[in-house]
Amino acid sequence: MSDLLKTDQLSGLIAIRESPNDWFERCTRKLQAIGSLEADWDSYGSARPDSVSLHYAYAFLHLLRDKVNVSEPAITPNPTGNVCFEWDDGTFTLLVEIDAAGRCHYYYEKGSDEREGTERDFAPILQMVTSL
Amino acid sequence: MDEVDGEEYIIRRIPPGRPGQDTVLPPHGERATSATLMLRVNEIGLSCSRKLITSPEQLLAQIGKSTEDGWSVCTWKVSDIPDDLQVVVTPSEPPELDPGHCVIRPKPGKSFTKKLASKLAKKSTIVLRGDIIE
Repeated sequence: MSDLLKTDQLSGLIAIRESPNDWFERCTRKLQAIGSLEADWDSYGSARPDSVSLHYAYAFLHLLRDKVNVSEPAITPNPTGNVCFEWDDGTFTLLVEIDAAGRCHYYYEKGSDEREGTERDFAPILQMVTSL
Repeated sequence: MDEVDGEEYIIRRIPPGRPGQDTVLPPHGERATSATLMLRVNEIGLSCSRKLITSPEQLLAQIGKSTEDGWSVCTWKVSDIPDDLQVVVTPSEPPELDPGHCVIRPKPGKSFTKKLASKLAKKSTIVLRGDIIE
């Protein structure tokens, strides 16, 4: 009985953990919706989301899915038309803007480690995501 | 141009969020996402309004929208704006559109970086929350 209870408790613990696959579909729908936005979506003269930036954003999202312990990012276009991913849990921040050349412009903050820069591929960004 | 007093509050429209996009970040009780506070190419500052002159409801009415359309309004106390930025009174185009118009722009010699957009976003709070549009 005791063992069964432990098994049930363990199952419960596993059930409340969210794997990337749980939020991957939600994020895919967000990107689809971003792709349908028109210019001036923010009422302040924003550009229409760029289809090439969106293409790279889909690729980045697929790479995120394969990582473990990654939480769901906020996904928003910015006024220039690039797609941005943002993580913030109060102890760390990662903001990534993906431009139409596939470059990642980022701002990372965790404790005293604070960095801002540009990467030409996703690998260093993925490393930051998994270190959060 | 005149700088807005540190005791004043300024406001900015935030477009509808989910399911289309994450314009408001939920985990911390609702602030604007950093991406919504970035500048367009060649834009010198982030358009805002002085709450003393333009109410949040009026700000949405300027574009014919309301919270029922999913639009929100975020706010900052001017003295909470990050140090490298300043808030200056700037006429809207046309001037009668928004008598409270102002912009958040970098101080001379500074630029509007992602770090500043992030810090600005973290200082924002939602003063008028839009309905969730499914």
